Amino acid sequence: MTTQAAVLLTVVWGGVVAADSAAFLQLLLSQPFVCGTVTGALWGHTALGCELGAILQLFSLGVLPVGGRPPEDFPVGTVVGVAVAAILTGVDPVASAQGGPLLFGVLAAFVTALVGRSLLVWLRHRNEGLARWTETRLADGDLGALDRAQWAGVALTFALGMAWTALALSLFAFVGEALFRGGGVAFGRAWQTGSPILWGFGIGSVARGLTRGNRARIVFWTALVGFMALRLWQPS
Amino acid sequence: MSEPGVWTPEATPEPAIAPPAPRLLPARTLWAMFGRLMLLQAVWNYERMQGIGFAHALAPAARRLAKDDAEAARSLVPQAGYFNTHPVMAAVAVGVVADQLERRARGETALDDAGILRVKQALGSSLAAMGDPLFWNAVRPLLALTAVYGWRDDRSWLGALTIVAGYNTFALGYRLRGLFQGYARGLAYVAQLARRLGPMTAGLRTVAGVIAALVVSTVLLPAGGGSAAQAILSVTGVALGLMFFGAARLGPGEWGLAIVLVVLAWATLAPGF
Repeated sequence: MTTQAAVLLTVVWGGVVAADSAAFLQLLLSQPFVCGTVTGALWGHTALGCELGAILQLFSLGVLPVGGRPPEDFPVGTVVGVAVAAILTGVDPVASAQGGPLLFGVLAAFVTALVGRSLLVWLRHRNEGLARWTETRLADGDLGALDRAQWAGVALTFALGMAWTALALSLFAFVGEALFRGGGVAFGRAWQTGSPILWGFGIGSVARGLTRGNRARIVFWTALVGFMALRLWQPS
Repeated sequence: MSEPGVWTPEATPEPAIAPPAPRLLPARTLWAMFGRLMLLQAVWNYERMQGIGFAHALAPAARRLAKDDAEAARSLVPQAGYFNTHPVMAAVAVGVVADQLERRARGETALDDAGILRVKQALGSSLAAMGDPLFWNAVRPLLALTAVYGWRDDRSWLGALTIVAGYNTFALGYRLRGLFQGYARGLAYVAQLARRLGPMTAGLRTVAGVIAALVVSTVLLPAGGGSAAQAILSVTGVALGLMFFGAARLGPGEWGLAIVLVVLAWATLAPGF
């Protein structure tokens, strides 16, 4: 696949996962492990997509899409992070061998997810106007207004997801290439240190959420001791 | 033989059991409502949250019960107001409200718009209290952790399929069942949901906790072995996550960004360490 085709498909995929995360279907295509794997496959780097997707999945499990709290935009963040890491893989072979593009990809994903939260807030406020318009039309006896409003909402979410993916991807690819051309070895070194901490923090935070209550805590720690013993003493 | 003027049980005629009233909404209408539930949050906003999506899902029923489109549209205005619950469990609320609208159309109950709205609001919060822990805190982590474990231990990308297929088998099945049962049995269906879903949620969370322990073991002792420095860093990460996540008002995105920036600064400023 050419780079142009991969960029185009990535941008469309960014729109799909943005819509899937709330507005349309909610099939969980927007879960980081799923959208990271697909993005990696689009760029011919499925393993890279799985690695970043898995780390971001652990962090995103701490986000509950409940009530009015705007969640971090992990779906678009993952798509952008994986695509940027895939682009940078070919820039500096030494840094790539050490995992430098992965660290820059995670950085891009977190920044995109955090900034994307403001876009979600903007979208939700914009939907207030659409909802008021729908109510007025319903009161006037226009039943079709509901369909039009709903599909407009999906289209707006999809378009915003595509636009944000395109913008963040161009920005991070440009900055990343400039940094890696000057030598991305620091990123490679940082990945060697950062990867175990990110994995550890991610799963630690998930375990914290799942071990509320004495019974859950006892089950978790017993299972952990058992699994550690099995891994230590399994025949090599 | 009973004496005249003396009451005996045999003398009382058996009360006739009224045949159940025929349902006004055919399966076709319910399937149309099911399809529309996929767009429940399309116009999610801070004022009405899922209100417009709720009215949109209810529209096929309203159209069936009203004389024409205009009357159906006007009957949906109250339904487009504030509503929020877990998106899967919303199917139950849509089914129950469709049942109530049908009863009102048949003149069975004295329910007015305000009464139906009160039922809808009560359903929203009680269904959210069941659906959020089940889907967001049990099913989603269980499937996601299974996928992550598959990647950590076996380098398998098939976890992506596990998440999508596993969640949708459960969620689509529950949406369908919730809508049809909510319509068929009304509020009686909701009454027994908590009894069933509570133990299921607790069981799934326990299993998710065990899989979390499995993933922690693969992080601390990776399959190919690892250096002592990496083991120390992994233990530090797990300990930080277990002790401090959620404690400092930082979301997961802020924590992740902070960790990346700290290790990047460390690698840049102390390259020989």
